[in-house]
Amino acid sequence: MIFTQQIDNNTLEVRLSGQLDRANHDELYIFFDYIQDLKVHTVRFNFSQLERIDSASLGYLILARQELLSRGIAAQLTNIKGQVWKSLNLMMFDKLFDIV
Amino acid sequence: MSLSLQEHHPLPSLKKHRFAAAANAKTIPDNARILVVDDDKLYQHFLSLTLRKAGAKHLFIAETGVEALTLARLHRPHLIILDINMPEMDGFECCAQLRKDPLFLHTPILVQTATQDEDNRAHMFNLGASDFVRKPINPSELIARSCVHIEHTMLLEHTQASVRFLQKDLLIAKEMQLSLLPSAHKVADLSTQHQIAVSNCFKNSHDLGGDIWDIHTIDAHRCMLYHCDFSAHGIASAINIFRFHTIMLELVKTIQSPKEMLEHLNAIYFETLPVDQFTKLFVAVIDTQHNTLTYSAAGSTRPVYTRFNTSKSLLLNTRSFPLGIVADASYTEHSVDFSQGDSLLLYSDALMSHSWQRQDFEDDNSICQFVNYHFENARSKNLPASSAHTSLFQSFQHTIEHHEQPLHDDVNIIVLTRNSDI
Repeated sequence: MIFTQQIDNNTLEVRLSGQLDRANHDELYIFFDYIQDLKVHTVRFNFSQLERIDSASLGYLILARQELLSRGIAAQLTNIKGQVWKSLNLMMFDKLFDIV
Repeated sequence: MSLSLQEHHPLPSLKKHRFAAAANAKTIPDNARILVVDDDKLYQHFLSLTLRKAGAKHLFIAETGVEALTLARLHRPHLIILDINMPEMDGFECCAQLRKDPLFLHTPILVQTATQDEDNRAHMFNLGASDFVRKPINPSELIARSCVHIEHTMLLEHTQASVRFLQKDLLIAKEMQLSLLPSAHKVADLSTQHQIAVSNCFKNSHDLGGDIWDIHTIDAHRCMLYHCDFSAHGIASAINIFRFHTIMLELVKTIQSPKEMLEHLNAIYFETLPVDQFTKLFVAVIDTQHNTLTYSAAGSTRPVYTRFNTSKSLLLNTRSFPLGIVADASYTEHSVDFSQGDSLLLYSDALMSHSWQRQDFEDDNSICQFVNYHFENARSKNLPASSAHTSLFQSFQHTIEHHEQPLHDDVNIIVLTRNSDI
């Protein structure tokens, strides 16, 4: 499940919850479309409610990062834990995203 | 009971509606097949004329419910226009019978009725009617409703045909994916040559995942093993797997360093793959002369490495960028002892993310403990490493092969043990 919430004029928080896998890929695709017109300085992905994430969903995340960075928008990850942290750590996502 | 046509559902004047309906009217697609079920000759004529004027080319007329079932099976109509009051089998029974047949589960049934009774209508809906058209029938309304239902049916048919086409293609791609895996004969030859027991269990994802592995002889004392997992699924995954397999067949002839191999592949994939289709890869060279296992990883799952003489299993370090995300990524080459009895387990991440009927593996630590249990058990009973290898592999194999639900990702297990008993 993906929820977005504007924290202030400069930051959009994207909260991901449950298991992010093939069942949610349509949502990720819609989200990717949504960020094309974003006018914020930072997009922060909040993983506090995320239990698992599959490789294809991580692919979307990398694609989103690429898109955001190309338009000067910072991509941050926050509250990563458990199995999700293990997956991201193995793939050195801490070197790709700001972890806050 | 036979109803008087004039009393209960008088025919509308065709002349009155002929031109009124023409201006913005929808037309029935040329290839639409419509079955009209009505015992009243006059109504048959009226419905036929109305539908033909709207473009219908394939009309079939049944006078009874029984005849309707026969004609429906013969012509597979896109729409059935059904009367209620008929001899032999009335519209209620006919509707119920049609819905019992899987062929007509989604075929729209447009019921023509003069009744105002809401309970009767509800009953028809419960029996499977899709819609109603009230008698006396307004031709424009009949055409409009018919067109909507026919369009839906044709859309559904088109979607179902596309799904069948994709399923057939996926099935072929799955078989091709399996054909790329090393054959039992190849693995047996390699096992004998290098005295390494290799066991593999591979099960495809229901929609085609991105796993592939292989093992190649480098020379008399060395062999190279790899396990690859593409992030994408479906057709993209199939294409990626085939390209990877082809590249690797050439690369193993010239590059024997896992680190060099990954850096070379990363350069290729950074240029050619979209970043969301990254690849996780583990490459190892086993040297039976120097008793070493040299490996590099690109964000792969952490293999379980077991020293048999101490029964100590541990997870190898694989922290690194997957292939295709970062230009000029550098990879580290690690080397560990790999002597007689030592073992390596490679596995897909789906082993942890999937819920198994027999046993769940919450994370890589639980897999490591599972491996350790088998080797510890063999050692405590003075059994050889081959015994631990077999029991470990059979446990995984049983878990995976006896799992009946479809898998959301490929699952691949490779157990590799240096074994002088082979």
